[in-house]
Amino acid sequence: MTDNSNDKNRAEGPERVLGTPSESSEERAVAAVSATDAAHEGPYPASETHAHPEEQQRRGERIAAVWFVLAFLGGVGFLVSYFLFPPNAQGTPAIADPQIAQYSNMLLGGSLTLAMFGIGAGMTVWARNVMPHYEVSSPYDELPSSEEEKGSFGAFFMRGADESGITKRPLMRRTLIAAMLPLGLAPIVLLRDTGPLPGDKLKNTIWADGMRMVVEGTDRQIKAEDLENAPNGMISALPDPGGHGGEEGHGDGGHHLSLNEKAKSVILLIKIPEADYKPGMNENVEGDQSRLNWTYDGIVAYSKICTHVGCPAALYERTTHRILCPCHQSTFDAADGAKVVFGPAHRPLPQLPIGVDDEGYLIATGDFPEAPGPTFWDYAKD
Amino acid sequence: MKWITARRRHPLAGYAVVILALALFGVGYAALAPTSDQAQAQTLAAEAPSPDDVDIAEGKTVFDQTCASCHGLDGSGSDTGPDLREVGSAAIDFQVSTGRMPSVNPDVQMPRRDMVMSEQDLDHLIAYYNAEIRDGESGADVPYGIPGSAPQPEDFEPNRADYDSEEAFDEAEEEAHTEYEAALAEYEAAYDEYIEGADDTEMGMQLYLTNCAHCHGWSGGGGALTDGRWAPEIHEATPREIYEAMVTGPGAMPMFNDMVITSDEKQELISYVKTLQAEPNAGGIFDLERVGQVAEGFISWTIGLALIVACAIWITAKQRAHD
Repeated sequence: MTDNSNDKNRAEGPERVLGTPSESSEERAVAAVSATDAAHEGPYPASETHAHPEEQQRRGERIAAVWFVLAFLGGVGFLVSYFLFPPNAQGTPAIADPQIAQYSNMLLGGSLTLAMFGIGAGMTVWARNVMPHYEVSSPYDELPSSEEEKGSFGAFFMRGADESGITKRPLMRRTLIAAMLPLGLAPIVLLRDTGPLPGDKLKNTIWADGMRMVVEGTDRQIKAEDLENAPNGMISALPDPGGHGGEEGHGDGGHHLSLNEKAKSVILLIKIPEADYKPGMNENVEGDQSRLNWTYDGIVAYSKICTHVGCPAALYERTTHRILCPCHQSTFDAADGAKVVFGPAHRPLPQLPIGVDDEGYLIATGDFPEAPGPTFWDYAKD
Repeated sequence: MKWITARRRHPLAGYAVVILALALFGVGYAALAPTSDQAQAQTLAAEAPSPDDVDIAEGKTVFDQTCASCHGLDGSGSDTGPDLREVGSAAIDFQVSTGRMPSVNPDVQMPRRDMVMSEQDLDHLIAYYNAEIRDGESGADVPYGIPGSAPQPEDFEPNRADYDSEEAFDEAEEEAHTEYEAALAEYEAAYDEYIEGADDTEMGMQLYLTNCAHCHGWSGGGGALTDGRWAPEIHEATPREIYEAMVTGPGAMPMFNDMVITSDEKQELISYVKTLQAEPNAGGIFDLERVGQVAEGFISWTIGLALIVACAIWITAKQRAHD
């Protein structure tokens, strides 16, 4: 039993499935009264056509008409909105102003939506309330072809192949196969572009012993004393490989760094009251160096790139000393070697060893001990 | 009513009710939610109030009445309120002028609201704080050179009781109006000078995106932190409030003192935040606080797709023989 009115190939509906419950006996009775088989003009027999009561059809007509009128108004509104923002005397379009452009877009989109939705909704109401619906049964076709048909097609195909010469002319056949081989290999060969292997590029950054750092976005080198009167300070910083170039205290602001270099070497400098550091900071990380040896005057430097998938993790709460990554809520404890306390990240943010040079500027005293950024398959291998 | 009774068992009745309820909530929220026009409160003079205008004794009264119950009579703090002795006057000005203090509930983060005390009382309070509670010069001073909020006409209105006759009152009212206009013009000039004085908003943008945007959002719409805390939206913040927030680090926010981000750089940054605020808003009922493409995409996928599915259900729903 189906409502499908497109089933034209079975318009005659030869067999009804026996035992089909006739839910619509009343309506069929109505249909039978209003239109006898003889007078019936629809595509399906009267017995399978369920017209809606006249009252419902009238209501449907009215509702559909309301939708169509709305759609008409929407369409007119679209035309009006198009002409609503004419160019000014100088010929500059009014929509050059972003605010006007926003209104224009809203009006154009809104009126077009109303017009199209109105037509669609009206037609749906029409189909549901005015058009009769049909109850047509049609048995499934036997899908597989008969053995006979299959066999005759196979024989037919082979006769054609023989005649075309592909079986009898080996030179042509083999050269054709040869011609296709490189094309088949091409997609596999192109995979080479995913290489070459990065080697240790992912594990090293440009941070090196003695390199000063600048506030990201400026060219001002940072001194340890700059954070003196901000007991809970934080700042995002970049390495300054240009070093002591121009004016005293000013580096090149990271302008010479490539995006890749910036992405790998950006750090978060955080000043934490020394009493707040947790015992985890005393663990030895390299030789006899503890994490605490890698801080200076309460200032600790962590890679800003989340070890999960590499978002900039820099939501720092100074009260809890937590660093959050905005992408997947990985949470690191800055007072405890950036240990993961929550979220999908799998290892701490790498800590950059820092100190000061003889002029008081903050410097790195080496590179990150491990690869910064998202964790990859052999990040821990040397 | 008969119309509803007849259709409440309709297969689409459930969808219709859900959609209606959603629309009602949306429109209702948009209508009731506070807008920026309603939330403006304070007037701050461009210069620090002179010692003659402030009354330290009055400030003590204000402190003892509104602050001491949590922060202690000497400002040394208690279980419910932090030690104030080293926070600096900028922190006092920020917390009070944004209406976060006095807090109604010390256990939760305070949202921004209209300032509770008067401008005058805040000046007295800051004078008392500086004289009696503050630990030497610790913390940051109120940056009086940076424009706060626009003056409000009601702060200039004369009190009817002070005048004997109707004429005298009218005259005073007129005078107050002129005074207000002058103060407003002065404020606007100072504001424009500060905002337009920034000549490297590119740097301001860099600083904002690398240090602020993670919490406060790229559009300044704010965002969530841990344990139910949140970073507030900063659209309504005045330049002075933004400056004070940076140097004092209210709540969980880290500090950005004038050595780490110089006051000139702060000016660039604040100017950039102001351009963010001025960015045209397409409006609509749901502007999603302009939180960004990911959220917008998520909303269009879930809500948009749900609507399309609902339409598909409507179009293809099986018709019962008798409706």
